[in-house]
Amino acid sequence: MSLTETPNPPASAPPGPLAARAEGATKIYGSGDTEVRALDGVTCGFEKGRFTAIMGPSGSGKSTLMHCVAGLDDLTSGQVFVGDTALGELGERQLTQLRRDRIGFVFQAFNLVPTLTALENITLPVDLAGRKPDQEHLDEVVRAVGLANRLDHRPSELSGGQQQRVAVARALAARPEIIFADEPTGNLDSRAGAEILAFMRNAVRELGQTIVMVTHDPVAAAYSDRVLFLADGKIVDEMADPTADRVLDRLKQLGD
Amino acid sequence: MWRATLRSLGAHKSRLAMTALAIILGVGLMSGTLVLTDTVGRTFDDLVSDIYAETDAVIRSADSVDTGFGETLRAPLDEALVDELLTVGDVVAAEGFVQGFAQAVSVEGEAVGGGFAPTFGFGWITVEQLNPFVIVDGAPPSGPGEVVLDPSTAEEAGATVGDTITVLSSQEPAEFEVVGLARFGTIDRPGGASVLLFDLPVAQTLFDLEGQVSEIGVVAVDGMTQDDAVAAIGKVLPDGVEAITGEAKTAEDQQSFQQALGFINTFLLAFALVALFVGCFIIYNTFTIIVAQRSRELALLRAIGASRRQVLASLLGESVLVGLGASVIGALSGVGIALGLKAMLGGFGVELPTNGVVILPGSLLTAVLTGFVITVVVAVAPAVKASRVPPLAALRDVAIDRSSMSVARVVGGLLVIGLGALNLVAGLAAEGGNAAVGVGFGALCVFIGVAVLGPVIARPTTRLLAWPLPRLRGVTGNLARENAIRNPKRTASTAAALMIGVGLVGFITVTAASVQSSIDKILDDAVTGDLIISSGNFGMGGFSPELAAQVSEVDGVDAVSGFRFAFGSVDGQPAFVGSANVDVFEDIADPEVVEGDLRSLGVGEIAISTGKAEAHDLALGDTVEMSFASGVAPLTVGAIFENDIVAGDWLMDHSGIEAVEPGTVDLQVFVRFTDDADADEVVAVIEGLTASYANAELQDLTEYKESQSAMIDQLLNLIYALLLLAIVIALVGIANTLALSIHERTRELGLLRAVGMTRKQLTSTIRWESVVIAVYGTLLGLVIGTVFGWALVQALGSEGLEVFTLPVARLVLIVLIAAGAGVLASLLPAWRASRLDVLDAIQTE
Ligand SMILES: Nc1ncnc2c1ncn2[C@@H]1O[C@H](COP(=O)(O)OP(=O)(O)O)[C@@H](O)[C@H]1O
Ligand SMILES: [Mg+2]
Repeated sequence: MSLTETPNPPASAPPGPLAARAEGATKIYGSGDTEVRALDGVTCGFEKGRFTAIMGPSGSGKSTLMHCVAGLDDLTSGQVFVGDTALGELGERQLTQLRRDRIGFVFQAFNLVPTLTALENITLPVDLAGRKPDQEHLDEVVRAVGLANRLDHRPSELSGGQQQRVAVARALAARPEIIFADEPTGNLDSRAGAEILAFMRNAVRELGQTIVMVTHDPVAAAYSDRVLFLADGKIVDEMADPTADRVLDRLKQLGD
Repeated sequence: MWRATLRSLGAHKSRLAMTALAIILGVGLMSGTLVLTDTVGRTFDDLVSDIYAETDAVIRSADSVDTGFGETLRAPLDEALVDELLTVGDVVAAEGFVQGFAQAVSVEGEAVGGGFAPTFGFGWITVEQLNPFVIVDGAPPSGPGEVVLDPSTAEEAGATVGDTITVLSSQEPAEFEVVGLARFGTIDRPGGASVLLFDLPVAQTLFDLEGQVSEIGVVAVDGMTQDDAVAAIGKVLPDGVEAITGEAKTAEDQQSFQQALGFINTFLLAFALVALFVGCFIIYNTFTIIVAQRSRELALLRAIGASRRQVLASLLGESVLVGLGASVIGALSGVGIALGLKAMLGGFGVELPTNGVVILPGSLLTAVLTGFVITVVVAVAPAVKASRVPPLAALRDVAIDRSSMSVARVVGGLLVIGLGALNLVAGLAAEGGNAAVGVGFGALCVFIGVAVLGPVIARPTTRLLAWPLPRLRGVTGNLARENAIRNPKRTASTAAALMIGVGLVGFITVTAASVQSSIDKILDDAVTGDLIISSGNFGMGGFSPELAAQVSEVDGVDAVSGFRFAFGSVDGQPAFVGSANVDVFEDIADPEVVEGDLRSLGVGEIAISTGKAEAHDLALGDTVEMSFASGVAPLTVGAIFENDIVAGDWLMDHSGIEAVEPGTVDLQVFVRFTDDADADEVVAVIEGLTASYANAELQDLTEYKESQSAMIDQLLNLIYALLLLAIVIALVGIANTLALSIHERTRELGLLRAVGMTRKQLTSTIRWESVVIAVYGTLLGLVIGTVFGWALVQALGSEGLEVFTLPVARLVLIVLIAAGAGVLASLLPAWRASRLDVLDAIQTE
C-alpha cells in the first residue's frame, strides 16, 4: 500500500454517522466595545471516515472552531460533541484524556517535542496513556510516512516536511476517533505540502480515519471530501468533492 | 537605554525575584552575623564598664597564663593584703574577690549547667561599689550553709528562696539554703554560665582558697584620679603583685571578650561567605539564562542602532539595580537574622548576652557593598557575552548554545582543580592561620574548577544517573531525563551551587566519622579500665577528689585514677596539663610509655608526648619551663609517651599539679576492677557513692565512646544548621533554573498538554528533572567532600586521626534528603507549569 501517491480522490461517500459536531457554538472574546464574536452560533457535523476542510478568510473563526471541537478551548454558549460525549460537561482531566485517547492533532509548526526521537514523538499519546502501542498498526503508519530509517532522529535533524510527517504519524498512531489539523502545510513548500496532504487523504480512504483540516489554501482544500466555508464566525456555505478552482471561486465571492 | 533597562527589569520581575532572594539570604546572614556581634560586643562592653564604674583599682598577681580562649588565669593573693590596703590613707574600701567551681543540683537531683556552659561560684562582695551583683529577691549570703543563685539557675534548679539545694564543688557535695537571688548587672545569666554566690569564707573553703583571694578591688577617696590611686597603693604591694586602674581593667576585660567574640564572628562569617559564594552561581545562572532568552530582543536593539556599549550598560544596569535592591533588603533583614542566630547558638549551648539590638552603619554598609559588588561582578560575564550578539541574530532563530565540550574548558578546569589541590596539601601541612587560608583557598579552587568542568561531566553523568527513569516512569521519566541534560551548562552551574553546600556537609560528615572512629580505636586499644565516672563538664568543674578516694576503698576495685587538668603554657603556647594517679594510671589506660617511668613521676616532674618532645626539642631528664597561673615552674621530663589521646600531651601526678595549681577537681575518674570482682556488684556500690554527685555519670567504655560521639554530633549539627542556608540558596537556584527553563519551553509544554499529557504527568516530569539535578549536584558535592575528608585524615594521621571512615548510611541519607529537596524545589515551577493555559501555551511566540 502506498498512502502518498494516490492521484485524485474518488467520488465522496454518502453522509454517514458523525465523529464530532457543534450545535449553536458561540465563542465571544472580550466584552463591551472590544467584544469579538469569533464563533456565532455554528452548527455543523464531521462525518466519520471523511476528510473535511474548513475554509474562510483570516479571522473568520476557523481555528477557534477547531480548538473548541477538539477540547482545547471552551464555548461561551452552545454545545460540542465528540462521538456522544458533550465536551462542556467534562472536567479538565477528562478533557485531557479525551484529547489523548480520542483526538489527534497536527499543528502548523512546533508539532514535536525536541528532546524525543521521531519514534518517541509518534508514540507519545499512547505512551502518555501508559498503553503499549499496537505494533502492527505502528509499523504500517511508519512505513506509510516513509520515515522508517529516521525514527531515531531528533526533530532538529529532520526537515520541515519530515517533521510534519512525524506529526501526522503521531496523530494516526493512537487511532483517534478524529484528527484535527490546523494549517498543517502552512509552513511547507508545495511539494512537501502535497505529500502530507495526499498522505492524510489516503489515511481517510484506506484506514477509515476521520480528519478535519483548517486551511486557507484552495489547493489543500481540494484534497478533502467536503469543504465548510466560514465567515465572521458563521458557516456560510459548504461544498462536496471540491476542486481548487471551485474553492477559489467560492472564496472570491465570500471576499466580496 | 536606561528606560529600556527599567522596562526590562519590570518585565522580568518574577525571573529576577529568585536571584534577589539568593542575594538577600547571603547578605542577610552576613549582616545578621555583624549585627549580632556588634550587639553582643556593645552589651558586654557596657556591662563591663558598669561593673567597674566605681572601682578605682584592681590588685592582682602580676604573673598570668593565657588559656588560649581569650582568658587569662592568675595565682591567688594572700587575704592579709586587703587589711594592709585599708591602711593606705587614700583607700576608702577594699575587698577580695574569689572565684571557683560550684555547681547547683536541682531539687530533682540533676546537675544544673555543665557541658560547655561554665559553672561559676563567687564570694559575695559586701562593698557595694565593688559588687556587680544586685539582689533581686531575698538577702545576700551571710554565713555557712547559705547560697544566692542567679534567677535562671534558680529556675532550672526548681528552687526558690528558702529551699535547700545540694552544691557541688572541690569539696564533698553539701546542702545549702537558697537565701536570695541575684542578677549580674542587668543580665540573668552572662554567657550561659550559672552563678552561685557564697559568703566569702564559705567560698574560700569551697574553692580550696583558704586565706586567699583571687583579686582585690579598691575604692579610693572622692576626687582622686585612678592613676593617683594606683600610685598610692603601689607602695604597699609586695613583689609579684600589681595594681591597675579600674579603667584599664575595664579595657582589658572588654578586649579579651572582643577577642573571644572575634572567633564567633569569623566562624559565622565563613558560613555567610559560603552562602554568598553559592549565591554567585544563582546570579550567574539567572543572568545567563535571561540574556540568552532575550538575545533576539538584544539583537534587534543592535540592529536598530544601539551600540554594543549601550547594550552592555543596559544589561549591567539591571544587575546594579537588582544587586543594590537585594543587598539593602538583605542587610536590613540581618537584624532579624541576628536574633535567629542568637537563638540558634543558644540552642547549641552558646549563650550570648544581648541588650537590645545594636545596628552600626558600617556593618550594614559592609554587607550591602559585599552583596552589591558580587552581583555586579558576576553579572559582567553574561552581559559582555550578550553585548556581542550580532545584529543579524535578530533575523534568525538563535540556536541553543551547546559548546560544552571544549578543550579549553577541560584544561582550564583541571588546572584550577590542580591549583586547589596544591593549596589544600600545602594548607594541611601548614599551621594555624596559614593552614586555614590554604585549605579555604584550596577548597574554593576545587569547587570553581569542578564548576568549570561541570558542563563536560554533566551530560554523561546525569544521563547515567537518570538511566532508570524512563524504565520506572515511562515517557514522563524519559522527558525528565532529557530535559535535565538538555542544556549541560545550565544543569552544571545549577548543580554546582548545590555541590558547594553539600561538599562542605560531606566533608564534615566524613571527617567527624573519621574522628569518631579514630577516637574509638584509640580508646579501645588504650583503655583497659572497666568503668569511667564522667562529670560531663569540659571547661571547669568536676568531682571533688574525695570521690576517687572513696571509690578506691570499694571491694573489688583494683585501681582508681582521677583525671584533672590545668592551664599552663610553654614557650608562649597554651598547654593543657593533665594529671592522674600516675602510680596506677598505666593499669587503667595505656599511654604507651616509650622512655622513662610514669609510675614514679613525682612533684616537679612531668611526662610528655613524643609529639611535644619533638616540637619543643625535649628529651628525658630535660627541664621544661612551664608557666602556670601561680608562676613559672621548672619541671623535669620524667617520661615520654606515644599516645596523646588518653593522656593529652602533658601529664603530671596529682601531687605535682596540686603544688602549682591547688583546688583542681577531677573531670573524670577511671576505675579498674579486680579480675575476680562481680562487676554488677561493684558498680552498684560505686553508684551508692556517687549518689550525692549529681553530675556523675557511670559509663563503661562503650557508653563513654557514645557520649564522646554525642559531643561530636552536637558540633556537627551546629555546622549542618549553618550550612543549611547555603543549601537553601542552592535549592532556590534549582527552582529558579526550572522556572526559567519552563518559561523557555512554554510552547513545548502546550503541545504536550494538547496531545494528552495530564497535569499530574507534567508535574511529575518537572519533579523528576529537579530530582536529577539535585541528586547530581549532591553526588558531586559528596565526592568532593569525601576526597577533602580523606585528604585531611591522611594529613593528620600522625596526630591521632588514624582511621578513615566512610559513613555510608549518613551519606545515603544525604542523597535521599537531596532528592526530597529536589522535589521541594520543583513544587512552585511545576505548579505554575501545570496551570499554563494549553491554548495560550501552544500559541506563544
Ligand atoms: N484569545 C483571543 N482573544 C481575543 N480575540 C481572539 C482570541 N483568539 C481569537 N480571537 C479573535 O477571534 C477571531 C477569530 O480568530 P481565529 O479563530 O483565530 O480566526 P482564523 O483562524 O480563522 O484566522 C479573530 O477576530 C481573532 O482576532
Ligand atoms: Mg487560524
